[in-house]
Amino acid sequence: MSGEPLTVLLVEDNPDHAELVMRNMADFNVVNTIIHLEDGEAALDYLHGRGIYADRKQYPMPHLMLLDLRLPKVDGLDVLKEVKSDAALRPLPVVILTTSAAERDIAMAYEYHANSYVTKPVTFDDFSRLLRDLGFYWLAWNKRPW
Amino acid sequence: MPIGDEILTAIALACSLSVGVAAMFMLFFFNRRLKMIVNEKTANLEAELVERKKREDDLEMKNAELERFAYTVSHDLKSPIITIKGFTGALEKDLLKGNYERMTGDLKRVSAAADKMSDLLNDLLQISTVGRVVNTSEAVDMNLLASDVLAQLAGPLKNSAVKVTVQPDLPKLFCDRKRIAEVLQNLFENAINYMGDQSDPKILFGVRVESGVKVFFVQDNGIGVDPKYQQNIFGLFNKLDAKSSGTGIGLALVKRIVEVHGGRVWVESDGIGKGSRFCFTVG
Repeated sequence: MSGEPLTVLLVEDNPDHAELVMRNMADFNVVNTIIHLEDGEAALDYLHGRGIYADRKQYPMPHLMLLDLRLPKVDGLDVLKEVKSDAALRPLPVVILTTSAAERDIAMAYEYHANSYVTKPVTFDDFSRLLRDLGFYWLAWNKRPW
Repeated sequence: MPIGDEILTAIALACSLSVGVAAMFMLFFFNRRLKMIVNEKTANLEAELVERKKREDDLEMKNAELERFAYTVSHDLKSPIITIKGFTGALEKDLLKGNYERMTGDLKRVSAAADKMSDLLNDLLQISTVGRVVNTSEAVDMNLLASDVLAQLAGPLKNSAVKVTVQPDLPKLFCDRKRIAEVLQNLFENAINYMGDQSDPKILFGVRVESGVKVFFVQDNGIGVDPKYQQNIFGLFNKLDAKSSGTGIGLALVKRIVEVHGGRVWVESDGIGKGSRFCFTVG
């Protein structure tokens, strides 16, 4: 690890689930900043550095995006599709973190080039382990695009 | 040939001729009758085919709807379970560590998630009753219905200081009174809840006639609906603002009721800050 601050963009409309993710990620010293947004439109604005997110110093490009699927305004799959069809954003690792285990969602997510697809575990221990593993894998083991 | 033979021959000829003519006529008539029968049967078959295609399309639509419904329900009911299990796990950990600070907050989350689940189940029950329990339709005085519904909403209307105008002399509507009351109630509540910081909040309930069809509408000068989202706001449990109260069943219920009536519902809005007009027809 380079000591460079690492940022995770969490796009999750359920505040309780967001809290669970943030608590579990904060417990492991990999991630420095978690930015939590509640809908797909805000996520796209953030990634494109549009509107209130224009300042890249304050709103840095994330190193990992955890993306829920069923989101208000712009759906998670549409966010994914847009990210992966944009040359500048495409390298960003996008992990779908959702309650849905529907075949259609999994197929569509890979169709749109999701880097990984995980469902939210029901038990707390599994939830913690998953978040720790995801954090370690994508931010420490994995060679990041930036 | 003796004259008698000639007459006989002539008669025989005439007879055979008339038999031939009669046979031809009969053939002609049989043919025509056959053609008529074939045409009739073909028309019946074609009508049946059209009818069957329509039933198939209906069934396909219903199946797709059911699939969407099952998907939404499984997703939305699973969410509170993850919250409940997640935070009870966190509580257990904190209890062992003697870390009491966030326990009250976490317990509240667990309790709220259970409430949310209970709300979702009630809503599902409500929406599944529409179409299954059908009250008899009657000619409903829409002015009377609107004032009944508004009387029920007196509290929220007073709190939000919304001025409501109902167009006088609305036409009668042949419908299930109780269900259309639910439609109005949901549309009025929506208008009240999404008024934003409008200093002079107004709601108008009226009707316009569009190519012979009565289009009832609830119009407000509230926050409006971005054209991008004008379709999906009618989806079950879909909400544009995750923080707004309610489960997101209101407009899905409205859509279901209107569709069971053979009508249509849609929103007209020029976008954010431009107010909305929710329109519905009854078939």
